[in-house]
Amino acid sequence: MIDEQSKKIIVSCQDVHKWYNPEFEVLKGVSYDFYKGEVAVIIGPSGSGKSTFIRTINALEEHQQGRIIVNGIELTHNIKNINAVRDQCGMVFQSFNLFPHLTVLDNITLAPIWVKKKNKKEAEERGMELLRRVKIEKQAYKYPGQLSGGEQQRVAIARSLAMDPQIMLFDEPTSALDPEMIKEVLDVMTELAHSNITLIVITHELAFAKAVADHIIFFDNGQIIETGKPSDFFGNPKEARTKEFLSKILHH
Amino acid sequence: MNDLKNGQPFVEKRTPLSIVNMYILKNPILFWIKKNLFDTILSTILTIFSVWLLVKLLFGLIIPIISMNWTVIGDNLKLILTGSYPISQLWRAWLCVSYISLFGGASFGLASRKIPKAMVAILLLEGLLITLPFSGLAKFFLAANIVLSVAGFFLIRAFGKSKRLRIIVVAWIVFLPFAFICILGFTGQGGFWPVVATNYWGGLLLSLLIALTSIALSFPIGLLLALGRRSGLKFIKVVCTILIEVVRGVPLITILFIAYLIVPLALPKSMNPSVFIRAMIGIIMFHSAYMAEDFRGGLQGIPRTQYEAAASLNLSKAKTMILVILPQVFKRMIPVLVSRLTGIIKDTSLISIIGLLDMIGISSAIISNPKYMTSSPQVLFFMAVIYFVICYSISLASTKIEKNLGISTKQGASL
Repeated sequence: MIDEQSKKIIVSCQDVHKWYNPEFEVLKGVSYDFYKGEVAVIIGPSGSGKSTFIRTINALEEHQQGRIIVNGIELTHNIKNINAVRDQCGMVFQSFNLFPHLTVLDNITLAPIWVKKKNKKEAEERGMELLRRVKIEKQAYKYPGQLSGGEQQRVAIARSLAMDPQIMLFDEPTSALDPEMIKEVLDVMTELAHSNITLIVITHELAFAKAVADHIIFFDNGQIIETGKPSDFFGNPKEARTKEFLSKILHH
Repeated sequence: MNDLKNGQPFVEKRTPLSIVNMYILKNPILFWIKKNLFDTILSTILTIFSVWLLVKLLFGLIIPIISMNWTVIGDNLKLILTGSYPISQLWRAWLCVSYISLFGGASFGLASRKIPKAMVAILLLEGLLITLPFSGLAKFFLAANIVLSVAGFFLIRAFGKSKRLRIIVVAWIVFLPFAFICILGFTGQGGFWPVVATNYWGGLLLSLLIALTSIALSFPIGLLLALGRRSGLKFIKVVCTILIEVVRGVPLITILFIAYLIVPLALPKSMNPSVFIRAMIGIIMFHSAYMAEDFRGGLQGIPRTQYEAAASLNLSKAKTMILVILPQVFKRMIPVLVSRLTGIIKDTSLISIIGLLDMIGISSAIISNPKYMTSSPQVLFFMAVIYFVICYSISLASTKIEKNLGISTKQGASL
């Protein structure tokens, strides 16, 4: 939910460029401001650079030109700034990336204990609370390998939430899931959308985007082609490239 | 088929052969023999060949070995086990065995609720040894060790669940320093715990001390070398790579000869380490390099996404390594590490070449005694049995550990 009165910018990207090698430019000058509390959904064809873009926001990928400012902190080579930004950004990956050698609860409490220096009991209480929130508290003492994909992804969301992030980045969180598990993950994300955490979501679930997003961002060929409110974006797209993309994915 | 459908038994025309077949089908033992040993012509031929081979082995090897004169082992048992370690100080070696018994029992107690078969076997073996005509000291310690193992098994449960594992881990880490101080001694001659110089150490005692120390040190050194080789700092990376590749390119025997012949020439006379120390450094260097390559392989098996997940949670690089990456590496590497451990134990036999009297060194000394000249097969066979028992128990233990860690290994495979 956007805080309409203050409309505070929380992530500001200004002309962000990234090259993987001198010939291959993935991000060709991306500028966009995300507002505090909003749900921004990024869509676009695969290989368009949208995944690389959100990975630059928590410095998993380095950008070579332009500025990224997260909650007043500019991402530079300075490791202190990178840590300060990562402190505010949670990230959920397409392939969950849980730690297979730890139980579900230990996955969640690892970072609070070792990064935030919480004591074990406090961290575990909070962990159980989060597991209840994603409706999976019965699996707390199992290992990730014993859970279904949907359950693993919900654990991954709880693991990010345990660090109390202001911003959550979702990199295609449902793409690796069976259809019947997609809903359980989207339900958790919908619930998060009503909190004041800023969500930046890459997804192909257009129904979710229409229902929950405050803004849609269409990405193609390393650039933002078009942005807008869901009703405008889906109802009345302006750019030809957007129309073409939407017609392809709406008619399959 | 029709008969079966109508619920009637399948009846065949009764030829003599079919009567025999019927008889075989009814008898489970005969059925098993027919199915597994004489099912086809090929398996019949193989069965006959195997039986012939077994009979040959029995009469050509096993019976002659058993009927040999084994007094050579009894006469030299003390030498084989401890070399020329003074008899008056043998209790120190026994003290180390007692330490192992106590915490070995405690480790079993940590792993299972009922006394496991392996522990029962060890206790029975110790009981059996008491009945043999050994010295009073040996009998006393064997009996004490049985008591200590059982005591350790039950006492570990007196501690809280979270403390148990910590106690066991600390106990095993402390074991090697304890063993060295215990065996080496720390008071002057005539004192309560006199120093016994390393050139008196020998036999199984020496082999095990060198093997255990090599394992305990080459494991962390190998890990550091592997991490150094992946380091972002060019200097560290180059140094580690050169160290690993140079050592791996040279046979262990050569390294031992260098340690034996060249190191004393290179060092000033005042700081000339004993052959024991020199040999140990050589062995540790050699195995660290191989261990480093094992670790490098293990590290490469961890997907990049694990590092990313840890980074997104703001774990520092060091914490990512210790909390996330290495536990997974260790788990995956158990089979490789075990084969490396048994390799190290067997490789220690090479130190006999530079004059150290480990088990192999002692055995060649015994064989060269004219009194025992005809007994060399017995001595060598006994050595082989000791090495086999040690190495085979290690690999049995590792299979057990792998099974216990099965859950997470399954997950590792699915990643």
